[in-house]
Amino acid sequence: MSSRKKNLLKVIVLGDSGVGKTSLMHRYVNDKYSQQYKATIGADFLTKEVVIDDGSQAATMQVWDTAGQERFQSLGVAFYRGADCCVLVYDVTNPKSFDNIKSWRDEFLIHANVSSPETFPFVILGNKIDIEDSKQKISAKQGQEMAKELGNIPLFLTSAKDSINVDVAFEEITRGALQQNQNDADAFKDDFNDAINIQLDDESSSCAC
Amino acid sequence: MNNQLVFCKSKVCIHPSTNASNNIAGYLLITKQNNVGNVDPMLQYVTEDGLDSKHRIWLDEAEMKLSNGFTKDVRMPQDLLFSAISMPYSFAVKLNSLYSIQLRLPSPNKWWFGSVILHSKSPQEDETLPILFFHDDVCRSTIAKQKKLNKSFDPFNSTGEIYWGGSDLKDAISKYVDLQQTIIEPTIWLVNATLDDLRNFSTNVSLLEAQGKSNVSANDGDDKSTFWDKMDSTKWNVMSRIADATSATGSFVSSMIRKHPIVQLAERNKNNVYVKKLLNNPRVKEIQDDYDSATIYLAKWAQGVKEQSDKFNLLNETSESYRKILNNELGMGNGDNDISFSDFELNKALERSFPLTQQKWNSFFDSQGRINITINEIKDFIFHGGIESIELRKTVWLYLLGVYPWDSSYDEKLQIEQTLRNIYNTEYKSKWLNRVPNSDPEEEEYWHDQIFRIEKDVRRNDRNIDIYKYNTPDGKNPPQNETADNEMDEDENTNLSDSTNSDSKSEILNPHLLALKNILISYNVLNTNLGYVQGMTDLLSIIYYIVRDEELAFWCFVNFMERMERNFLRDQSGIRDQMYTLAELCQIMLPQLSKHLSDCDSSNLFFCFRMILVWFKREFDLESVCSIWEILLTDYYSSQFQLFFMLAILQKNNDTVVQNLTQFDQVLKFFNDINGTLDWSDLMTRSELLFIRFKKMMDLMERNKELQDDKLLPMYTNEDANESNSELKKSDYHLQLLLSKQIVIQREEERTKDSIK
Repeated sequence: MSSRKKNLLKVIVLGDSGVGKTSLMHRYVNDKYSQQYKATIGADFLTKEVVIDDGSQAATMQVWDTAGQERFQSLGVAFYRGADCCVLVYDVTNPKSFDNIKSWRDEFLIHANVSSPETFPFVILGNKIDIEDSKQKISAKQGQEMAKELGNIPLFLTSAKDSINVDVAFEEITRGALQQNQNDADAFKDDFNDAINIQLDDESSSCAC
Repeated sequence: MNNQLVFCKSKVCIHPSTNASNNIAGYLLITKQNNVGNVDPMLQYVTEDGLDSKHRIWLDEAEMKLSNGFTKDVRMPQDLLFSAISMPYSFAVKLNSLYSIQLRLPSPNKWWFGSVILHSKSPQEDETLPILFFHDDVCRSTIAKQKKLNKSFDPFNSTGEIYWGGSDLKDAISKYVDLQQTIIEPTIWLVNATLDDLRNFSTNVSLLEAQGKSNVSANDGDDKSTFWDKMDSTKWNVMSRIADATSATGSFVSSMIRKHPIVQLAERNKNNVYVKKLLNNPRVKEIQDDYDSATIYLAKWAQGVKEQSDKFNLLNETSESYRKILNNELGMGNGDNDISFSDFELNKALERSFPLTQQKWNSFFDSQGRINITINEIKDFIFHGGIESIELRKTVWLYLLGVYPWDSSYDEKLQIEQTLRNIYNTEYKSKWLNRVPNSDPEEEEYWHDQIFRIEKDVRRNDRNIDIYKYNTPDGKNPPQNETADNEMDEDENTNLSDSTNSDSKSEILNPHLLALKNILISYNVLNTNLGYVQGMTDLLSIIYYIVRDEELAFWCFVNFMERMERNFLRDQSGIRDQMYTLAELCQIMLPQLSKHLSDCDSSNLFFCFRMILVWFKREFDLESVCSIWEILLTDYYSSQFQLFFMLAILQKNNDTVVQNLTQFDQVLKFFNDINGTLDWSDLMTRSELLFIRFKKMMDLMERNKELQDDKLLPMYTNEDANESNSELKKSDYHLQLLLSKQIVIQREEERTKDSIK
């Protein structure tokens, strides 16, 4: 097993094909948008250095982008392992992609083998709000209701194209991932090694989040 | 019968003796029958005194017309050639029956005329072909053209060579046949040469010499065989073939033979014990006895070759170091003769400079439109040289992708094409265009979902390729957007703006994108089990780009999917099989890398997934993808050659990966971002050598196993042995399958309502 790297936050982006996973990732990491993204084949990731809250702590975020088509998922699950946060994306103009959010979450929980599924951080993004209102099929209210139903998951309505809410959403994602990363590290500490205890305590006390 | 004149040059002379007063002047013509295509143009020579004045005037006028680029329908008077062709010194020969043409430049100070020596494939015909001298100083068309060139201060023609009458002949001939200059004698051009001839006549002197030296010195004494033996068995054939083809023309043979790299090599090594042995070889003696001219080369061995070899050394220094690199990296390097590469194998893999040209392609077909050489020879051309132009690619891909059977005639091809166009429209396209909603709501939803998926991927398909770029009804950039282009906030230099965008809700207007959509939906009707899978648009995009015809591209795609369906199966078994095979292959061919990848948690080779799924389409530019695909489509060595190409990519990056990457994610990122760093041609050469080495290893294992089976079989009767045997057989089976040229077909199982999408 590849060792958990310190301060590496692993984020998995899931959702139906064409909802804008690749675009969101590029908007966040490179602040760029292109019409030329093709369907993602296989899996890829981008990394970004993040500074947390008051600037006292830095981490590297690794954002994983996977193919949306269902039959490719059996290969994609290998990447779920070690995730610190999972981002579920739907397209506000595509009701089906909205309906599938729950199954993407369940799929993730089954394969990621997370320590405590109840507290694992998810964030939901309703993307493509730049598209004219008449074509939007999923209202903010519907989004909110579903997010609440799935366990008060934070929801953001975004546009990768016009750069709306992407940074705010990823701040939330970073927070969640960091918390999860910390929890896992704590669990690791409790389970195994007292000697490292002190060190980790130092670190966690400096993180005033 | 209607003869068309396409080339005419006056004052072309035969010099029957050294006395100028005996010179015979005439016209050199290329004529073509007006019916089918470019098949069988004739090269004809008629003497002036065989023509009456009326015909001479006609020819003089025609010469000027043609020389000025007037090519439309210059019909020969019916009776012009009747009497003339029977005159002494007149001759007629089919361009296709020529073996070579030698163009000897006039001397710059006009001391001698430029001349042309023709050689026919048939020895009988060859005897009848005289040397033709071009009297440029009295030829009207040559003088006129010369004047024009002088006016523009350009004494050279378009290709940078000095202009003379023979230049016009060469240009005219090259319209109808493929002409390839030989490296060993640059004045000689081969006509529709076979790939073997091309290989031999371009064989690099310095390379052979280098091997000769190293082999001779390394083996000094104890291993008498290798180099000279191999030369004896394979390369002497070349020499005797030259002699066969041109037995009558002494000077030609001698110059050819003298300059042949083997001869030059032998000359430089004449004190070597093996060369001495070789010269006493009965077959060499035979050549000497049979052909006077052959003795000339022996006599002249002592002189005049060093300069030339130095020149070649200089020219080919880089290619020699490349050769060494390949041999070091890909050969076994332990002196194991069973597995190391032979010179022939290395040369064959390295020589990729003879693309398939339109003229060459035309020469493959007889007047009925059936191929007159073997399919394997055609595939050899494609595999080792590629296809020269996009127009020709369109034609050849229709064969490679199974629309036309290789052995069909013109008539059959027309009929097949007509039938396929009909079936596409009536059986598939109209089926969904006039579709009635399915009474089963789930099936109805499935159908709409399929269309939705297809449209979504077609909209975002290859928007960087010109024909797919603009979502406008004519596929062109709408003028009102030109000013807005620069203001777009996009990371790649795209010209897309709102009205031409790939917005997920905008309608598809671009005619080429529409064709992709139509084909994919029609394929969905044809293959109901598979359904649309991402990646299929990538495959079709290339095929359509080349074929540019919706109906034919559909059938190309259908046939292509025969072999590619396994990549898209619901359970991923086909792609897993390939990754498994690749891992096996990697283990035996690149053990160091294999071990390292396993240390990086990457032994499943997931990072190769995309490359295998869509045949490297995301990693290379359009032109390179086409070059790679047409080679893979030949199945020349293996129907799964894509795995050897993949292996070559791994091999090429072996050191970088081993030295720098330690984690699964690093490896994935490295290969995901590899595009732009790869040279497909280098990789293809490596793939070929890797395949050859793999085959040798398999042969060796086979032999060892047979030996062991004979000895040991009775000892292993318990279950353990059986178990490990079956494990062995599984990997054996996958590896054995790599040697097959038969495509591997894996089909999707029947679709049910619960089937995963």
